[in-house]
Amino acid sequence: MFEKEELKHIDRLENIWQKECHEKFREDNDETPTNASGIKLKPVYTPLDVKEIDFRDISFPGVHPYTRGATPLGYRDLPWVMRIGCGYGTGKDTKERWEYLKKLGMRLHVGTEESEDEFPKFTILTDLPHQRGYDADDMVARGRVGDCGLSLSTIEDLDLLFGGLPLDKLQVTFITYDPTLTLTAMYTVYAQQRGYDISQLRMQTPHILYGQWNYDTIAFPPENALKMMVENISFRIENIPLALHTAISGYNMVQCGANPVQEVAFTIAVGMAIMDECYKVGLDPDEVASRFWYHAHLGMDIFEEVSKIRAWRRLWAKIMKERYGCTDPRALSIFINSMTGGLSCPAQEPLNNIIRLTVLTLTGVLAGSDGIWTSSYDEALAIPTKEAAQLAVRTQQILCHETNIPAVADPLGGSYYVESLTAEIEKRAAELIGKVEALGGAFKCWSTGWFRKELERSANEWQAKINSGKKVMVGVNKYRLEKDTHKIKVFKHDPKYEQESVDRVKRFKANRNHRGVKQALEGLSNATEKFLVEWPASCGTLMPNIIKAVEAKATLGEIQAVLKQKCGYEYTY
Amino acid sequence: MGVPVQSHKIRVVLAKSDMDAHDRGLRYVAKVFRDQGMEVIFIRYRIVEEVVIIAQQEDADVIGLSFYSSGLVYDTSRIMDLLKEKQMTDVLVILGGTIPEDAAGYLKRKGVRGVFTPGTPIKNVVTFVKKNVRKLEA
Repeated sequence: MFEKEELKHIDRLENIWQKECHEKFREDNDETPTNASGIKLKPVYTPLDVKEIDFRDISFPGVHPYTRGATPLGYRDLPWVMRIGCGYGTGKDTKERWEYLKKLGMRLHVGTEESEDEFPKFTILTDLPHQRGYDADDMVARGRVGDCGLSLSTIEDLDLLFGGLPLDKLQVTFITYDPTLTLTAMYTVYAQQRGYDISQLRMQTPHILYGQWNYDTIAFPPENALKMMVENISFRIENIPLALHTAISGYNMVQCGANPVQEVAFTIAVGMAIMDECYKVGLDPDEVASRFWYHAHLGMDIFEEVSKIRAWRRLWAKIMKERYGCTDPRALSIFINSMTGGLSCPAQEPLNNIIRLTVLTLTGVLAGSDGIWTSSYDEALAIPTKEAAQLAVRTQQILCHETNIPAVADPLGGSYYVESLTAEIEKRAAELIGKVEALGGAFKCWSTGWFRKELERSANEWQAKINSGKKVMVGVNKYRLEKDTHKIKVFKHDPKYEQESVDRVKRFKANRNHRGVKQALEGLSNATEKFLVEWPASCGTLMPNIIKAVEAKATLGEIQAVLKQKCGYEYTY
Repeated sequence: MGVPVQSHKIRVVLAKSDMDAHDRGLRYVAKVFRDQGMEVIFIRYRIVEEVVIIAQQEDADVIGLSFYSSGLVYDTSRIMDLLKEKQMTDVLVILGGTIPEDAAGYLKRKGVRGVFTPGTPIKNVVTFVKKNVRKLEA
């Protein structure tokens, strides 16, 4: 990008500068600041640090390789989606919070005007029993129903949330895990029963079944998880084409220890593994790739995080084009939803997290994220109070309206520092992807525990830095008060949520044709067995049987029990 | 298994519900406890009763539980009640996770001796255990 003569001149200037700070400037000693990716940081960056970079690799927003963003005009054209989640109690309770956020001006796209057709995005957190496929009245669910998430066991529970709302105008993301296929079936059956054409629906779930390699929960084993994920993708492309189908989640793996390079590499490797399996069942690469979204983690190192997301976009676009032959711009540059990292928001002096969440959200904005989830300052204590959720909404609105940042796409692009970091993170991540591929791909690295070991190592490195004080968290390991006298209000879980939800499920179970349910579940059991054995030819045969079970009024827990029994539900390690 | 071990090593059962993914903190505590010479039995439980059964079988000196709000009060209260029933109240029960103050207060009144929220220096947890564990048989 720079003329040779110019670079020689800059080099001479740098030598002068180095002589000026000779005593202070030392290369490669222990005091050199290093970021989380392990890259040593220079005190200042110049064109010399980016001289190898071809501008075509940076290019323009909306132009391959999409380093600078998915769309040509960035936020001028389409401001980011406000993906602030909520969920607790029953659908009635969750809807109350959603109405409140709407009243605060939460919109689908931040800063847009209210209109009858414009509904804010419904990002719904579900409770643990639902996430693991247990009905509210299951013994295992005791003490957890409607706590930290919406309780959802039956098709009638959906109506508590969505009754009266126009399903063809809503954009809904359910933050759920195991029961994605079942919930998808329930939502489509519910919509049909209300007279909607399901091809108009926009309902998505992350379907992060592969998340189990990050942590020790019981889960579907890797090979069968992959089949279920591809079944979901196949069903959705055909029947709910307007919705995205799968999240490629960096967020969870970073919360478990991944550093930025690992986040980029392992998430793209997951995408590749899913694409490879989709290819086996004959799905079109553009159709599949264009419906992923990348759930990015946002950390406190602003420039590293922005560079990481830029590197991710570039690497994804190159791999989708070169390895899978994708040509659709929406496949080459997918929706990026960035989420403020909980890891950065400790319990000590929680009001400090308001500052942190502002920095984290700002990072998401500077990176050109297509959607941003801002958590609340009481993140480490409980789910957000109304006040805390309000601040999260206001943080996004203030950044949108009062800073002028959205006027310019990729405002940090061209910074010698950011371009240098972007290139270096891309390089390291590409190498790590090569390693994952050599080990057999992402799902193999899950089964063998290799991913887990890598994440654990990073987690321990991070913790060692916290323990030694090398990594500072203000108020936590530095300037820590003996006792923080400032108290904040914390969300109080209402025990009545559990009883209400349990009663609803019991009533639902009592009012149905028991023989019909039994037959449908037996049919599902046989179909699941066949699905697993005859894969990949059997792709497309599982969902119709789940739908039949939903139509026969089986509950989420009953359907999940069948799937668990046939697919296995165990600890991988 | 099931035979009480005569040992001067502190025996700790660290437990978390198998539904809850947030195990990074607990895994770190397990690592540090092991580095400190404690015997750690790390379990994921389906129902909370399993924790007490295993603690009994393993002759645990300490039970450490980890939560992120969901199930915190129910599971911990149930464990404290079961320990009382089985006359195991000399087992030191400690709690870690995202635990609001009033929940911590209530659970301490039920007999939980230590509550450690995110950001607590790990050495505080180790010191607390060593100081408060029951006298070990030689």
